Amino acid sequence: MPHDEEQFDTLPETIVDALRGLDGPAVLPDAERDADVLSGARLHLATRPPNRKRRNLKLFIGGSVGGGLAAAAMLGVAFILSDPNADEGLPMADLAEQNTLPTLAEEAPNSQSLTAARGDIDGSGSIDILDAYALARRLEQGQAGELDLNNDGQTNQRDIDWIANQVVALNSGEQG
Amino acid sequence: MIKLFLAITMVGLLIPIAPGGNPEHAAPKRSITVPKPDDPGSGLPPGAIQTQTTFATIKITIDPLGKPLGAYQFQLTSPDASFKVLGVEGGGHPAFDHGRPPYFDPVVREAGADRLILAEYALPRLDAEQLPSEPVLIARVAVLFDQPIDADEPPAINLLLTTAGDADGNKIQANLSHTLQIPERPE
Repeated sequence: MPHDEEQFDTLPETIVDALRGLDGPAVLPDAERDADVLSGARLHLATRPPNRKRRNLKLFIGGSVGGGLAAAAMLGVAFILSDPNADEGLPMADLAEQNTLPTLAEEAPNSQSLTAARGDIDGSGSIDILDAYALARRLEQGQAGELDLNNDGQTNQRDIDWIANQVVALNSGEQG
Repeated sequence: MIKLFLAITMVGLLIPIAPGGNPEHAAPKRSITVPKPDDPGSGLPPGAIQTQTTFATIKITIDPLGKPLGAYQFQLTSPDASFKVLGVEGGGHPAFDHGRPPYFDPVVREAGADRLILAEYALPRLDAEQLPSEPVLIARVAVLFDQPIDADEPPAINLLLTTAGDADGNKIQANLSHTLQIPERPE
């Protein structure tokens, strides 16, 4: 664009007048007119039907943010659960040991099963209904001792049920 | 502890987001109308049953071969047809009458399954003389097969004994057998 000082002299008079008017004092609405405009706007907004597109946009944005948070949370949980021993530094063997209770066979001096799983009352090396039966007979004789399998602080019928429900669970891996 | 706190916090974030959402965005509910035989225009004769499932009752008997039966555990499978368990009852022998059915996984009542594990022990106060040593009915299982089944060609039912024990909890040998009953459909 060429620099021509005379180009500004060719502006239409209307524009020149309008530009000159900008230098004058500002014209502000009085308080009464301001209040009228404000109340009119409020009335308009109150009676206007909901803008579906705007609501959908809000939902889309909200869903996106929520989905992002959910994904981040799931990733965080997966990361935390992926290394459960990190805090305590326990090897898996120690954790497995924590999940066992002494069996009746272990209590007996002639026990041959010292690594039986939790609920292996008869020390057979596996958990089946015979363990529930053994615990039931021990309870009947008042010799159940400290065999609180379901961690409710007591040794009672619920511990028998705990064993029995373990052995019939379809996700127990038993295939016969 | 810090990781546990983080896990709980993140799960807390998930809870308000996961369920429901805006009802306007929910999938439209569908309804299926099944014509009843007695409805005019249904095209079905009165009394007809239109079904792709088959109700059946399986009665299971165990023979402890002369030894007192103190407990049993077995698996029932149906390799040809999956089924849903509608109910389980004991066999009625007083030695196994706990006032409840034998133990089984209740998940088989909610979803189709191709196997069922049943287990029970005798009342612990009973002596060996009070336990059954002859063949005894131990369970009645009402099932709903997910396919039409002809009573003349019943599906295979396999029973596999996991364990059985005597009055002292010692393992014993036993034989399982069953009968499958399919009620006749009304004509």
